[in-house]
Amino acid sequence: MQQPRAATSSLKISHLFKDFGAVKVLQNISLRLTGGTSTVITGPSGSGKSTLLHIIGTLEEPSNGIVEINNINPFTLSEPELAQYRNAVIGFVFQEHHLLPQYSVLENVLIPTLAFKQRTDATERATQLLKRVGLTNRQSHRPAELSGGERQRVAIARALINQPDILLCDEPTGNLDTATTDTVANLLFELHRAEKTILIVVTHNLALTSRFDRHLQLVDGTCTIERDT
Amino acid sequence: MPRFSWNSLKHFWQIHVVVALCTAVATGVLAGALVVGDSVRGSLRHLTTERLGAIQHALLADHFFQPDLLNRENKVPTILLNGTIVVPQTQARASKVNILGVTDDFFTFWETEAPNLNKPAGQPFNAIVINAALQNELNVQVGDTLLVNMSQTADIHPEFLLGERDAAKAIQSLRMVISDIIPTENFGRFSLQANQSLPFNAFISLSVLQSVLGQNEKVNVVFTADTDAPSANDLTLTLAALDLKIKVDENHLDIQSDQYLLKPILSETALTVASENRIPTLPTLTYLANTITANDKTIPYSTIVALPTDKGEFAQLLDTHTTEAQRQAYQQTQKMMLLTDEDIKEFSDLQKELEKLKKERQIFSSRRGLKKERSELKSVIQALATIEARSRRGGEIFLNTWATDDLGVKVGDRIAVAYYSVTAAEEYITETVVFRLKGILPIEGIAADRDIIPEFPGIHDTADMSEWESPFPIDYALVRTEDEAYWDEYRATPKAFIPLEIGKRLWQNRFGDLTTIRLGTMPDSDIQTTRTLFETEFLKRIQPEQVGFQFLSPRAEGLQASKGATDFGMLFGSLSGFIIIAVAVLVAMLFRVGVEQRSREIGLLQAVGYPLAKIRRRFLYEGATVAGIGSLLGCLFAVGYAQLMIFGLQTWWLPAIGTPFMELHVNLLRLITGILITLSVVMVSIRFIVQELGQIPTTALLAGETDFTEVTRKRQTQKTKSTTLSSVVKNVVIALASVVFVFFIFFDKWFSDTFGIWIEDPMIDFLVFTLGVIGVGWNAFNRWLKSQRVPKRLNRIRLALKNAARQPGRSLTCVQTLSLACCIIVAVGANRHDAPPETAYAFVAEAALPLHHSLNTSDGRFELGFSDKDSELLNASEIFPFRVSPGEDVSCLNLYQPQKPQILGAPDAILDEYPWNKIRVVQPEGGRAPAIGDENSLQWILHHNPEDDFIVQDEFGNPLSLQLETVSDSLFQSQLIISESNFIKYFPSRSGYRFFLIKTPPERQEETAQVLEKTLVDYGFDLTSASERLASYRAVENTYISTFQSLGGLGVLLGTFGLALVLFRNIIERRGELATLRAFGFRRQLLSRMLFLESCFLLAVGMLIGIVAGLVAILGSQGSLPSFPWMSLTITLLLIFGFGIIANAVAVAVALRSPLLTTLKSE
Repeated sequence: MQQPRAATSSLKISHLFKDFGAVKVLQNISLRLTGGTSTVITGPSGSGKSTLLHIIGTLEEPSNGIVEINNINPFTLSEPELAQYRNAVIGFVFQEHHLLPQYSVLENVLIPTLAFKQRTDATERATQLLKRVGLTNRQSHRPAELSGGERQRVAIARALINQPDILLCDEPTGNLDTATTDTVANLLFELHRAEKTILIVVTHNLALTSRFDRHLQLVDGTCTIERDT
Repeated sequence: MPRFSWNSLKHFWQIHVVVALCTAVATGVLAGALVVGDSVRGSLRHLTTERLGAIQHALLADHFFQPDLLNRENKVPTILLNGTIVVPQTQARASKVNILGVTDDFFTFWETEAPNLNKPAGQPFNAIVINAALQNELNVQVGDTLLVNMSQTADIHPEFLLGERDAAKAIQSLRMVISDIIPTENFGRFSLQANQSLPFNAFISLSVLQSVLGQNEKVNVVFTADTDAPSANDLTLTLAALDLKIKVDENHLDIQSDQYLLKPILSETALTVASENRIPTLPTLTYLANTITANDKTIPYSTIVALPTDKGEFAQLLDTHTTEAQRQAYQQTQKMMLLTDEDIKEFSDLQKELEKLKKERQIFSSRRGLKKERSELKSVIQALATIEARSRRGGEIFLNTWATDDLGVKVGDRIAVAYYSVTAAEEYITETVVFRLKGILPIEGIAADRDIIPEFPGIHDTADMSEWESPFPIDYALVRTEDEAYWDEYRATPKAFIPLEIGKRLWQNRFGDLTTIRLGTMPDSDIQTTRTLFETEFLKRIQPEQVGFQFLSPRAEGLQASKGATDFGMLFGSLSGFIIIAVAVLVAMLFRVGVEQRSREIGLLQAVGYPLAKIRRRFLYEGATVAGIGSLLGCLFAVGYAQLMIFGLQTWWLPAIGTPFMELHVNLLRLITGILITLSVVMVSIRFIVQELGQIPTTALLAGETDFTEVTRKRQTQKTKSTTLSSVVKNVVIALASVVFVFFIFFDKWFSDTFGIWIEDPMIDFLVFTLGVIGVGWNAFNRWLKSQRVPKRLNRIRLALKNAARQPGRSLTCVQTLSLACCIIVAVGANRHDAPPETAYAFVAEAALPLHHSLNTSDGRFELGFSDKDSELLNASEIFPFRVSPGEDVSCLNLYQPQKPQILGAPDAILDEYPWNKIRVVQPEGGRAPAIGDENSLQWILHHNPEDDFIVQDEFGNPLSLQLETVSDSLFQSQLIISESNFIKYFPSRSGYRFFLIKTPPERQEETAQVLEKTLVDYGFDLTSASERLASYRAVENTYISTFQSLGGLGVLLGTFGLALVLFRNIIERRGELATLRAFGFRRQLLSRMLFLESCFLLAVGMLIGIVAGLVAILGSQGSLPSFPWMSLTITLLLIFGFGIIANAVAVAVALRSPLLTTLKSE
């Protein structure tokens, strides 16, 4: 199913619950976000940050509650439809960049475009993205030949290749030093603004939180809005 | 540490179970192969003990003897003959039948009840008991009558002038009725031959057989169950046992033989003993002259005695009756003889003719491939022989007064003596020798002594010459009244005498050169004392083996031979090599996976101060425990595997063993050997993996670096890159290898021709081509794997294929292993030749009883009973007869290790052709003979290096060195072949021809075969198509190849598990990447397809490189792909591919079963 990009992206979460057997990970989370906004989620380990992010990214189903992205509940879609939906609407950046070592930087960026019918301008867009993340001269390099920050920049370019509505980042700077963290964070914001995506970042780095529009704190599965501008 | 190990074993139980199972498979395959070897040996041993019962030793002779000669309490006298059996009603026949004349004692060796050998009530014929194998061959029942044909026994060798060769008299036929049919087991399986095939046995009452053969109380073999082997000391030889007799006179003893000629060993020993004891001797050689001619007058059929004419009684008699005038006359004529123009001219003409013919004969010898009509060649040789005979001068001759008067000759006259000689082809030819009469003797004293003349069978006791019954042709028309009168008065008294050395030159042959040795009285003794002393000393000197006795230890020899010509343990071990290697690689991979899974643990242990050696030991202990458990399990599997292989040998691969005789023999020692070897291999693999632990930095281990190979490779790569010199060396080596490769392909012939160094070995070509192509393939694949080139357009297929480059080392290893395996399978499979090699011969024939007449002449065929029409048909064929010294089959059809190979004597007529010219004797060497042996038989059965001589025993037990020339793909894989002249020299008593090669035009083959088999049925003449014979040898070869293909294929199938395992490892390692792809919208199905495509790509590339390398190598070394077994190879390769696909699909399914996305969580 080809999912058209929404004029204005939106994410609506209502009364979301997630448990793994007896362990209640998320409890009654409700949230509404629109395109161009940025949100940071913090909380102690085990508070459910990544689980929330994975549910938003449709990688996991909630135990209860509703998730609507661009007014569509993705969990009502079939598995192939969901995969295609995710491919078109959501971009991921993980702490472990998970770049494929056998491919060049350019190929890694292009990989999401191969899941379904490839865009004709995919390579052009990949090249542009790499230019924007400052890796034009590295596009034929293998991930092993890049620094940690460069790898994460490739991962960001890869996440944006399909022009997603939502960009989900799970500890994107977790493995980086302070200087590189700043560089990657700047890049993320810059691209977020340019692409007008909904940016959701899970991080432990409290220094970053002030740069986001909204700061959510997760404690024992419940959400507290620390800041909402 | 043990507690940690135990906990680790429990925690990582899945991987350990798989390692243990793999080790069990390896142990099972290896120990199973050894058990197969034991089973073959055990079965052959069992067959040996079954066929011999309690028989330990045997005294076997080439003649009949009194069993009392052997001083043993427990002995069983038996007659053992080779014969043929024909069913009169159906004409069904069986040849190579063991005809056994036995008493009830024979059956006590098997502690079984004796079958009924008594004549059935109301039957006119005696009883015969046959085994089930013979029954099946003849399709008969109890009560049916059989015709049993055996060679007639005779004192005089059939190939001597006086030997009986009449076909009708040479075969003894016996009509018998079947009284019992016994199973082909125990004594029903009796055979002295070590061969796994079922023997045809027929048992007859000993007394009946002795009576029929005219050998009352005599036998030709004595068996004993005594454990101590009889020796020459246990044999009391007598003169009678040696076919000798002594005629005693008051002044002398005449030693003569029933065989007419005294065997050389006997005459030499007698003269030596006499000389040592100062006993005067008079050796004589008596022969029969067809004619004595002079002055156009002829005396027919006279005895001539060759003896020392210049001493003793003869010299005295001659001296007394020779006048001075006669002496002078002889001296004059002797001078004249040397000088006469007639003589000179005759010599000159003869010499020229001789040279011309010799030159012509040389042309035949040297120009291989020149086809000359055999008859023409034969006539040339015969003319040569005649001229040579004619060119000889007989020298002096002495006639008695009767002959002198009859011929009207005087001293100095020329006397021509014509006599028969027997050619190598057993044909009578008349030779004529010219003598000069030197003296005339009265018929008195030694000139009238008939005692020095042995008895001519069929001649000496006849009343008239017209009643002579001789084996040689007699022209009775020549016999005159005067001759009859002489016969009446003087019987066989010699009419002529010649010097002994001349007599020997003319008439000696392989059977002897003396007919009588007359012994005088020892000084100061009487004749009886002389006789006693002589006899004692003489018999003491004779070794039983010299006179045809053989002491056999069939049980010990059989058990020795049952070790087998082919070590099936090693064979199946080798054939199963792929399986073992595949399993060893699998174990290594699995263990590596296990160790890599625990990289953090290793890093932690290192970080907290564990010495590396201790960590390695810990993993080694674990590995040893797991492998030990697996090996023990493997013992059970080994028995099953061996049983499966035995089943295969009894069914699918039956041509490899010929007869389904095998049973399972499990030897604990072999199982332990299998366990130890497998454990060693597995532990080396594990040790290799554990060794790598130290090469990875602790930090990398703590970081969870899981791919040791990749880490090691990276480090090595870094080192290599920094070393420019290494890179240069590598390039130089590649360049040199390329030059050598190109050189071998294009310039090997030039090199051989130019430098005379022979490098055109197909094996070298094969290896060069294989390594070349496979090397190019691997290199290309490796380059592709490491290629940095970015494709213009990335798509899913490219994405999947590129995944193979994620772990280039692993992918390359997989491709290398698969390609090598496939290359070997293709190359070995290509050696399978379904069509037998071409041969110039239409048939190979074997006769149970020897033929003494030529199948190539109408006379010979007439003697053998062919009708004129059939004889005419055979004119179109060319038949080459071979002499046979019985022995064991040395081909791959015999599983026993041959101890005494069958030896053939190739006829002169064939020796001009290749490869027979290799065994033509140019300069005979004592105890050494050139011989031909088949390459396969020498290499695989006799395990003989063709560079060395092969030692066999001649008829007298003396060593005979065979200087072997090898031929390949020949009809002679069962025998070794020497020239007939050498055969006669070393096996003089073997008479007739029992092996034949037959050339027949294709359109007459069927008819020819029928005529030969029908007419020669009594000889047990069996024809086999030469192509079929070759096909039977090739079937064994092909069966081994099929076995290899099956087991090799199985090994590769297991190898594909390795591929699947690599895939599994890759997936596990790439879970994060795969999860990322899932996060980006790649469906599980798509991921599965991509992973599957990736592994199939490796499978296909590996197989493709291997197949191409195999095919190119064969094309390069053989020039073509003759009778290439496309079908079987394609099926094998498709099976491998199919199995690989399934294994990969399973690996993908299992690896992707667990949730991937959890790996993406950062917390």
